[in-house]
This record gives sequence, structure tokens and C-alpha cells, in this order.
Amino acid sequence: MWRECYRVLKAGGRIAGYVIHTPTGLRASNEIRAAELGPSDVTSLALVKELACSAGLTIIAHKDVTEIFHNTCKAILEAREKLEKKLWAEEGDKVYEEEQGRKLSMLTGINEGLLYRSLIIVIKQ
Amino acid sequence: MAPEIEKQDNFPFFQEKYSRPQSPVARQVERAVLGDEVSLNGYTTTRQAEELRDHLKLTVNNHLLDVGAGRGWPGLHIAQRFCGLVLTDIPLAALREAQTNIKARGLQATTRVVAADGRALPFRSAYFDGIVHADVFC
Repeated sequence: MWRECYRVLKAGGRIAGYVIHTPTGLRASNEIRAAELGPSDVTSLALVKELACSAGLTIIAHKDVTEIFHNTCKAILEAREKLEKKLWAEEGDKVYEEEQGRKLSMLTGINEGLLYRSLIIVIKQ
Repeated sequence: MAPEIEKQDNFPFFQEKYSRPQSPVARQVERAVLGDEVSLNGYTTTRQAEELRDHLKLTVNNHLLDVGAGRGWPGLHIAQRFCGLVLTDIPLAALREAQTNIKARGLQATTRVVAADGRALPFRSAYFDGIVHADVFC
């Protein structure tokens, strides 16, 4: 996907985005746990950067936003819990529980130090 | 060396998720937590969307691509009426909702929706001035 983005981007253009990733140097068992708790294709930041660079892009900025990620995830969970009855009525209990389960898994991954989120800016020079 | 983790194609998950219309109460949660009703499945606040916009350094009449846009976040917030925007993703249900969100924001003149896989974008080379994504390259 990085290669395609490089292709359609003008020279001097930037790609800006947030990426959920694992910390560098995880044990294999923790990599598996991270993929169970977060996005199933979650990978290390090092690999994300490597893929961007191998597509011809240059990283010009990187910022760890895991704390905001944690707070946002927690706030969404808590807001949904507060509105549980209304969400049950609108979404159905199965959908509600599934969504809560996903958000809780993500929060668990963050709390266990397995899931991070970063802002990455790259440029096509 | 760590064993290969089998990579799953997430398409069936997102196809199923976006096929369910988002409930009004869920949108209420988004507004309270993220600062806007964004119809999303992610964690990008309005402030973070604005930070993306600042880093992109776009000018008027530029063209922005939002890859994996889902229902249109954060592309719709970043582009507003400022520049041309193309939203792209695979699940058609998400893109239909994106079109609803485009109309709600009055951005029909400057925004297009294209169903496409980010690994094979149907656009000519060197067309976009900027690209934005949120939790897509994970």
C-alpha cells in the first residue's frame, strides 16, 4: 500500500497518518497476543517505517500518541457503558457486547504495553 | 526469530461492521469523546485530525486522498471546503455512508468516493498533493 501511495503522490507531497503498532523487540508470544487484542495485522513500528522507506518515502516526523490513544479508548468504553441501555436498544445486545469486547481488548493491549499508536509523516522527495 | 503470524484479511470484518447503520446513540458517544460525529471505527479525535491537516501543508485547489476512509473520517474534516478530496475504501456500505456524510457537510462539489483497494489505487501517478490515513497501515 505504501508503494501505491508513493505512485499516486506528487513529488513534495506528504502522507500523514496514525498507525497502531507493537513496540520493537516483542517476544513471539507477545506478538501473537498483540494481534489478538488489537488489529489482527498489527506489526512493529520498525517494520512500518521500513515499508514506507522501501517504497521510496522519507520519514520526516514521528510522534508517539499512545497516551491519547489510551485515553480515547477508555473514554469511548466508559461513554458506551454509561449509555448501555440505549445502545442495547439501538444496536442489539450482541452487537453491543461485541463492540465493547473489541474496545476492551484494545485497551488491554495498550495497558499491557503491547499496542502503541504513532503519528507518522512521510514525504515523497 | 519470531514465527510468522498469519495475516488475516480484515475485509469480512469491516464489510459486516459497516453494513450495520450506526446508531444515533453511538454517534452521540463520538461527539462526546472525539469532538464530532465522525461515523468511524477508530480513535482519531478532531484535534488529531487537525494535526494531520497541519502536517500535510495543503493549499487551496490541492487534491487530498483519504486511504481506508471508511465513512469519511478524517478526510472530510481535513478537506472541508479547502481542497478537493477523494475518499477510498473497499466496503461499499461504508462508502454509501460516506456519501451521506458528504451531503450532510455540503461537500458534494469537492469530494468524490471511489471503491478501491489501497494496494491497487485506480488513479494516475503523481495526482495527489497529500494522502491521509488513520489506523490503516497497522
